[in-house]
Amino acid sequence: MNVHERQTTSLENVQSWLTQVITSRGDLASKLKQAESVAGSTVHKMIQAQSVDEQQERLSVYVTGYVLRLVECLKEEYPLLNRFLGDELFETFAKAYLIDYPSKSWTLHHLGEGFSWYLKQTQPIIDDTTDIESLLLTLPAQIAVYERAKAMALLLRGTEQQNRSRWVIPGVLKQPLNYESWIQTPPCMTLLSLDYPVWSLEDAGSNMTFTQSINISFDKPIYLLISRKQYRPINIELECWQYELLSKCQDMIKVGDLLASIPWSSRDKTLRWLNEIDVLNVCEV
Amino acid sequence: MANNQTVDAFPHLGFGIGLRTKHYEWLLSHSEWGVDWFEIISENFIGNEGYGRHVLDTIRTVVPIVMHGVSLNLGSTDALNLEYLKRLKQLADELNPKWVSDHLCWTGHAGINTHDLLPLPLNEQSLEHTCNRVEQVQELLQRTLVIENPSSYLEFKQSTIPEWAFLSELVDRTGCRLLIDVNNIHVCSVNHGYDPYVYLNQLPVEAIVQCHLAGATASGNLLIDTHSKPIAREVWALYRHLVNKTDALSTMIEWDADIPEFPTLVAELNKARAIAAGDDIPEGLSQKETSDHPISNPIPI
Ligand SMILES: [Fe+2]
Repeated sequence: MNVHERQTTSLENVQSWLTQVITSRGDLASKLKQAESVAGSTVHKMIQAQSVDEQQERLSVYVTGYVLRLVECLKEEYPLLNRFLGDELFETFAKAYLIDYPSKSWTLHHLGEGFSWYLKQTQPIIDDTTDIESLLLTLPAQIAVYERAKAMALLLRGTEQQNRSRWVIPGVLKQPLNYESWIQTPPCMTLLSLDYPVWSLEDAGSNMTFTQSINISFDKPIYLLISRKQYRPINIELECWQYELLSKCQDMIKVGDLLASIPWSSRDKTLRWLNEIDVLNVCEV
Repeated sequence: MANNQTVDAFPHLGFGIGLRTKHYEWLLSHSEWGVDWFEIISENFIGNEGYGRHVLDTIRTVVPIVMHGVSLNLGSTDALNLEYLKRLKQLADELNPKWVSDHLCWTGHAGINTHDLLPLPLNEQSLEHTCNRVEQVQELLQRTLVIENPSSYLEFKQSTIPEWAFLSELVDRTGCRLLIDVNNIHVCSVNHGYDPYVYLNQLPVEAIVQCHLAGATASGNLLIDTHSKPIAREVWALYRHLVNKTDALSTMIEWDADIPEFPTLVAELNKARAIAAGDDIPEGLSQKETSDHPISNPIPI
């Protein structure tokens, strides 16, 4: 074995080669070409097999499995989007996303993180679209934002686990009000500003046609809180002032400081509402 | 080598099942589970502070758990992911599992994670590399690592050492223990044409602390490790052979696709109990069925 052969068959090279075969674009022949250009080795130097057919059958388990396994994961996280786009279109986007942005994380919790961004990036830019056309183009990315927030609502810390963190006591602001207590939205909560009420698609059943099922609203943003209570997901549609108020609570803020930031006349209404929705972490000091 | 655990630190746990989301509601609404322990997928619980963690915290007050990982990337030439290892250790410190396991495999190169368990070329270079990595991981986790034989569909021309000999050397040089996946031995013996009993007989039996049982799917000329079916008769026969050779084999079933209701899993587990107690091998499912694109190593959720 000469020096070149030793290098191309080293452990690192074998791994570089197979990773390229599995994750690069195209059919098996183009994958093998890409792997050869990166790792400088051919399939014949790598895989034990009696025939080309056998090589292909063995490699296909990894190549096909890679895509199917991860597309399944994305379907799991984005069921509404899958339903909206249909299997074929969803899979096209999912496969393109996986090829363009292969996972670099040890956890599959991160796999779908960039999917809404990706859908937005790949949106064609068309001048003079009608409202309906614009809805068609932009809705998938918005559905993805909504579903990612739902996934995080179920995964991240909520208001249930009082004892995990020293300062967090979930629940209602006590009267008389302690202006020194701290308030914060829990990590499981996401505040969204959307162009369309995408959650209304949830009830649309399997044969959804978006024009029938969505209550289209083009002129003003729609605000939504996505979180969970007692491990159950919740959606609350917000008014603009409620969205702005909760946005201020994404970093820990003292109740006194929060109240000082809103008009005196709205304080009672604000406190009543905060107690009513009961989705924040409050720390009494 | 990390010597914090002695032989006694690997107790016989009995008969267990892989904890999966589908069974959470059933488990919380029943008090008799019919299992002695659970195996969890470590990555599913790192950073998980939702319902899954709540269920797990309830379960682990009742029965022991072990942690089984899929992202250690033990055989890769990439640097070990220290952030992952830190969080793995943190989870182990919180959950107090009986042991922590992962696979003799690599998952990607140059930072990419394929989320598959990829086979290594088995030779002196990869053996030395893997031994170094096992030692580093044991040092970082302050635990003896348990390592599982993977299923595989190809062998590299660079391989010069049989897998059983590779695992034996790994045990010898690092003090790690073994999780023997009996179905993976069956799958590999079909896919690579070797005698599974020779493989089993050559393993260092004293290092085996746990076994996996699962069902595979035939596709073309290969057998795919789909974790989607009842256990095959050939696998039950191998299991009996392994049980007869070991004193304290903690046994569990992995089922990750087409997951049945929990009582059906327990019924399958009870076959393992019966075999371990000396009963005849049950009629297993024939593996002649094929499916178009069966997925090996489905994501356990
Ligand atoms: Fe296994």
